[in-house]
Amino acid sequence: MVTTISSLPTAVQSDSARSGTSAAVFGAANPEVSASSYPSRLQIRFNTVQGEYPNAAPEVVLTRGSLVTSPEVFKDLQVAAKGDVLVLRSGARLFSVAPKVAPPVLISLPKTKISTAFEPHLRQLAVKRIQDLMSEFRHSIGKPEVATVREELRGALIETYKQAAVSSETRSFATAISLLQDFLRPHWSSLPEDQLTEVDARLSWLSSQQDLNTSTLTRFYRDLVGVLKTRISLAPSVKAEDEGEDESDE
Amino acid sequence: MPATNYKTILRADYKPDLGFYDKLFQVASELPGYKDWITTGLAVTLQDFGNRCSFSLAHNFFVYVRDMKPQDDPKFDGDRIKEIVDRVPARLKLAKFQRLGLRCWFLCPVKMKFEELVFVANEKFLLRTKEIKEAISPSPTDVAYAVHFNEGKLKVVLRAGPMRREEVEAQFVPDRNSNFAVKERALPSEELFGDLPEVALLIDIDASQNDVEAGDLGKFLSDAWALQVKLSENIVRYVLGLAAKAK
Repeated sequence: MVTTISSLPTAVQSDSARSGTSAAVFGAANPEVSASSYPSRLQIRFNTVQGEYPNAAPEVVLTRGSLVTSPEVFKDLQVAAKGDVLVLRSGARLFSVAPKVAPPVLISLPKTKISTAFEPHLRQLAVKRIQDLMSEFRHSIGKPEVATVREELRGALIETYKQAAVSSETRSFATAISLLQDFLRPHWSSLPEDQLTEVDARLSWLSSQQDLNTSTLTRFYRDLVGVLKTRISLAPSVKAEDEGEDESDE
Repeated sequence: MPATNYKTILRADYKPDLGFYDKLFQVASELPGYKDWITTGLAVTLQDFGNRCSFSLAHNFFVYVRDMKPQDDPKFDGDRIKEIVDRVPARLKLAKFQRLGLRCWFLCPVKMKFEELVFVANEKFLLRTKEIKEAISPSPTDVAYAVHFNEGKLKVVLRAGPMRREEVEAQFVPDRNSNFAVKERALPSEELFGDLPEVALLIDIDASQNDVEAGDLGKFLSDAWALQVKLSENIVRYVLGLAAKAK
């Protein structure tokens, strides 16, 4: 519904006037510019739904870019003024008193190590995701959502394993992921709670580390081996088969 | 690593007064540092093509623009703006501003690919619920964080997100006629803005305040500048920082 408003409430007039002030004569001189053509004195047509909400005050919630700081130049002041679209919200207050000004609340985030490369972020996001899901899984045991969370966790582990396995720096983390995959294989009801808690704690420690370098990831892997009590050897396993045979022969 | 400021706009809107036209050229001519100018007779734009800056004065607003000229030192804009706010409002006898706005565009260059920055920004800014992943946007190819909020008396309009160099015209909307030398105006975008980072985190912050008494202009500026610095730093730290997760 289109309504013609000749006398605008103060708040609205101010908004329409502000839109008008984005208009400028510069660049396309408008010889008709005068105080009488200033938007606040114009009869401006607004698209409103006032008929549907007669008691609601018009409140601008959607406008063009004229409400942001811009060097924007309009050729015609009236075009600028007519462009306003008022969308009524039920419950908006007519002639509301001046809103209370909240004190500034933004804090400065602490200085941190910045990385403009992708890999460190990928590591952090992957660890954080797995830790979040592991926590969620641990808390969902015995509840209806456990199967869904477990599937999501398994998906995240598979995805992370693929990413971690391709780089030599993160290969120990990939091995740790495969340990977790093994650990989660049995039915959730038979998973030892103390081990789950410990795994969650180790993941939490890992996600609290700022630099997920090879030594940190390897430490996590070693811790995890201790928690899960796997029989995987932690000794370097890069020796050739022949050498292994020699050793066993000795 | 602070983000670099590529564009700044300070705009003041006020109710017009018929006495303005007698003062227009006199006021404009008192501002130093602008070698060129252009006028329609009803408004004037002073231009400094070397620094890609301009100052426009019209019956109901004045605006300072630095356009696509990277500045790490806020003193540059600070000095220019001080020249303006020290002279223009007083000479025009402005008692009140309908609106004051300070808007800055920052870029923080990254070494990662655009798609990778999209991935990081998506993880940092946007909620990824099962419903969103499965029914709304499985794998976004571009993202943006856009929000309006109030900070004290300031209304803040914030946009942040990954930007490719090719998007420069759409994201910055450079005003070639006002801020670029004649010989540069017709250059293709890839030539004119070829020194911009190929991929960067774009931060666009607009801080404004309505109905400001002329005497409070200085406070608005200091508050708005402080907000620009703090917010741009926070966003870089949040998106690109390897912040440890709280235990």
